[in-house]
Amino acid sequence: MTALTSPASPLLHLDNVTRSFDVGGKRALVAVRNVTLRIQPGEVVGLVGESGSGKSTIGRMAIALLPPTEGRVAFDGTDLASMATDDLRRLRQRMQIIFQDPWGALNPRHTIGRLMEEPLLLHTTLSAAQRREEVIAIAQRMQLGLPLLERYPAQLSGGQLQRVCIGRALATKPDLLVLDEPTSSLDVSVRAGILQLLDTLRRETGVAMLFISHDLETIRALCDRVVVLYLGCEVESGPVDTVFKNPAHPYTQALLSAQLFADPTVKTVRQHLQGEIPSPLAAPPGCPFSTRCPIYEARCDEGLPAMRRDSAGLHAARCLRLPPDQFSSSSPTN
Amino acid sequence: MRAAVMPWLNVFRTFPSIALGLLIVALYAAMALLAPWIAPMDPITVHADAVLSPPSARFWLGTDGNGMDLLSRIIYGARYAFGIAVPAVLLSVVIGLPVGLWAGYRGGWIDEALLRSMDLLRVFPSIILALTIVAATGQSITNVILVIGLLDAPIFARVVRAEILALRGGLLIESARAIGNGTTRMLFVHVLPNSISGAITQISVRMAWAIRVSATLAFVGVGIQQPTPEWGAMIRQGAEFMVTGEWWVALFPGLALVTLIFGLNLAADGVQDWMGRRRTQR
Amino acid sequence: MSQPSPIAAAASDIALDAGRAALSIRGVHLAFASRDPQGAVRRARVLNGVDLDVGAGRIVGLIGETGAGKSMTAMATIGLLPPSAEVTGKILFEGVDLLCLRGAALDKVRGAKIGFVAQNPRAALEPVTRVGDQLVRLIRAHSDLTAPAARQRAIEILGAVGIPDPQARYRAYPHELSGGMAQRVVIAMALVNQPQLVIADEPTTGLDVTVQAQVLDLLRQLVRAQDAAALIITHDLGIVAQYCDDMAIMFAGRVVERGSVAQVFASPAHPYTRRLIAASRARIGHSLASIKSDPPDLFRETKACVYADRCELAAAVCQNAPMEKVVSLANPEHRVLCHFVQLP
Repeated sequence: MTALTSPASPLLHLDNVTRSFDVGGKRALVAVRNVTLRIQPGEVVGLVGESGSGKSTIGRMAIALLPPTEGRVAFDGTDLASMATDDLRRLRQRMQIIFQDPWGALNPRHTIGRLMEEPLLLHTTLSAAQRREEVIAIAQRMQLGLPLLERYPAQLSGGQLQRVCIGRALATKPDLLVLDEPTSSLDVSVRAGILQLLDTLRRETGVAMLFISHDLETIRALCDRVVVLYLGCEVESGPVDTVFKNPAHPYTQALLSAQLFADPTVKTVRQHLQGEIPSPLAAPPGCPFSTRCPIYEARCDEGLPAMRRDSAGLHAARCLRLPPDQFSSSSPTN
Repeated sequence: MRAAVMPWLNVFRTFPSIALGLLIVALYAAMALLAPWIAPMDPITVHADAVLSPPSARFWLGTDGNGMDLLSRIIYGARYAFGIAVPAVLLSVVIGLPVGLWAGYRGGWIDEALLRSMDLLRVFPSIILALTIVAATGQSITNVILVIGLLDAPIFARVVRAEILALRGGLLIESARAIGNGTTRMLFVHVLPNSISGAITQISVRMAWAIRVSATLAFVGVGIQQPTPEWGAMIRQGAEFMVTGEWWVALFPGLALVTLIFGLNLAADGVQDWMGRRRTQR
Repeated sequence: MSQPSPIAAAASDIALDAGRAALSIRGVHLAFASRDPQGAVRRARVLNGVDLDVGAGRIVGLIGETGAGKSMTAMATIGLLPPSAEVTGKILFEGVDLLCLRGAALDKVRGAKIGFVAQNPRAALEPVTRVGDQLVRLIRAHSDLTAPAARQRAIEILGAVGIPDPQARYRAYPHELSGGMAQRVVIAMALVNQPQLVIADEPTTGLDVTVQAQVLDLLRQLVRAQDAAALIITHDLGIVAQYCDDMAIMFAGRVVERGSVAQVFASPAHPYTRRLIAASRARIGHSLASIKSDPPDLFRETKACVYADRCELAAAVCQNAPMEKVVSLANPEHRVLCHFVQLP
């Protein structure tokens, strides 16, 4: 299903979105703060962050599982908040999500076949026989043996189940796929297969992806662009190779240096960060990274720094101490 | 046919409590259904010549203070036991399940109302409550069924609500919504089947409870009275005769009552274990 | 359950005499009996002849995926197996077979001579006791220190593991600490009695990437400072590559390859090792998807090599389990369990 989007209008647009949760009393947990994100059709954008970064919340807002507290989320030009319930329900065939825990996401009482048939049942007018054929075709593309269709989720391994989830998500040929840490709970040798599958599917179907992960190597392998999050704020974004080779923000630099390569001959110089990630309930007033930043100054407490971009306009970071010759303080929006 | 029976035999082997419990319940149910054919005599025929006679060849379990055959009365009593328990529990489920479903899924005022009514019911011992209501509204079977059914409904609601709350903490509902389920389908296809195991166990437990309550009501003099062959009423009469030595009048109905309740609770226990096991070991 | 043949046992004794190893695991088999849904008895063969050495002062990484048996190896070493476990073999520590220890003798070893860092710090710490009190209890169980002296030592070690303001944090309950802090406390507990051996079971699971590095740096630093040996159990090859001296790879209850980290990464001899390394580096693999990748079936009884049904090199000879071979005489500690390694 293709949409009539012009090159300038994105498939998914999170426009200055904020999301906070009421946690009793007068306190509010701000999970996402003023984030702007655009995904073009066919683009793969990576969302990187640790706990408290808000990446999962953003993923859910992107496909209308959670409404933003402020700002708007638009899919293919339409504001999701303004849609009628039924229209939104039908829109879901164009945007799907893969969760981290495949067992939790699937109804344990349904067979795999029935689970994979569900999106077709909900969104298409195919007959039962046609649906069955389609399910078989999908299972084959996911390299799942046909006998598995009669089994129940508890009888499959994590890798197989995740393939079921991917098959289900792609059954209606969506334009956007959100993946929330899809391989984090899988064994290492299984991950590569899943990621290979995702890469192949992306090339074959042109689906856009929002890939949420804390694993930088995976992001580098799969994504075109990357957005780095810290305590609900975007701190850096840009093409994946640019950001990884020349990280501008001190947090991105620290994150990259904390990576452990499976190669004893490669030793990274670790940047030692003080302390731990503050609780989102007690977020610092200015730059969220101020409590641990190695280049912190007093003025970093004076409010959230604006996004600064490089001359090409693609690589941007939120830091007051970026080299001004590389990053100018123009165009505050992403 | 064999393939259908085998899994059940395995279940019974691993969970003998289900087998025994269900057997007892089945026997009593058969008694209730086939009463006119298996009872040796009419339960309310007075045998004036054999009032309070002990167990003998003619009256296997003896006769009561009115000269009626105890065995026949016990057999027909099963009809009353089930006749009250089944509709009462059905009523509880029909009211309690939807309320619990809504309270768990949507929350809001229904949830608050449910929790408050549960609290209220917890304040009163339920038997006293049942007693009071039946005494006030009139001693008929219908009233007994209504009262028990209504008092038990919040329990089903609560059990379903608890399981739904647990579901909401997981990914299932989110995932079902993301794939495009509307609320109705979500509730019936995904939420209800995965939150109903507690309620299924409760059916048997509440049936045991309904039988106990109706017997108690009859025993206390509220609810069903003589000459209706209801076990509680029979025990009431028999209690007076215990002191004068006619032990069978109270004992046999008492045993019948206890055994059926035991069977129902046993089955409930076993079903709970079975469902817990089945979920993880498919 | 057959015992390893005398040739294999001799081979594993060649380069590393038991005296220089802090821990020597020899031919350990572990099985659990249970009933399947039909009611028949079946055995899960969790460990199928594990041979592993931890050299004195060395940090060894034990790596494997789900079902490999690495956690069970640790449990067997510190005597935390459930009563239904059927275990044979030897685990030698300071000249004593740990598998034969019970009761008071075992308690003397645990917590004092062998320290254990558990996977989930919240599960390891008692939720209703203050953190400092738990430390003190542990200190006094294995020493004659008085209460004030023990308290002082506890505060010292809390400081040593990088907990800010240890005097105040002494009085904290586990749920008041963040994941990283709680794990530091667990490390403190493992190391406070200066053990000869520290076993860490997936010590950084669930921790953020930046915190993970801090915790591992700390663990390594303390272990080296005390001149202890360490066994780090993990599924992350990155941790092994960056923090360990030696490594052992487990699959389906056997150690399929072991040697120093430098050697194994430079020339991995076992097909599984090669596959793990490739999967850890290049995120997108090409022909990996077609190979069976579910966890191994531990109930299956087989005389074949445990890796045979998913190995690209598998041949007829693999129907018989291989014996451990030395990969090259230049590095006799580098051993592999595979038919296709030529003894040079």
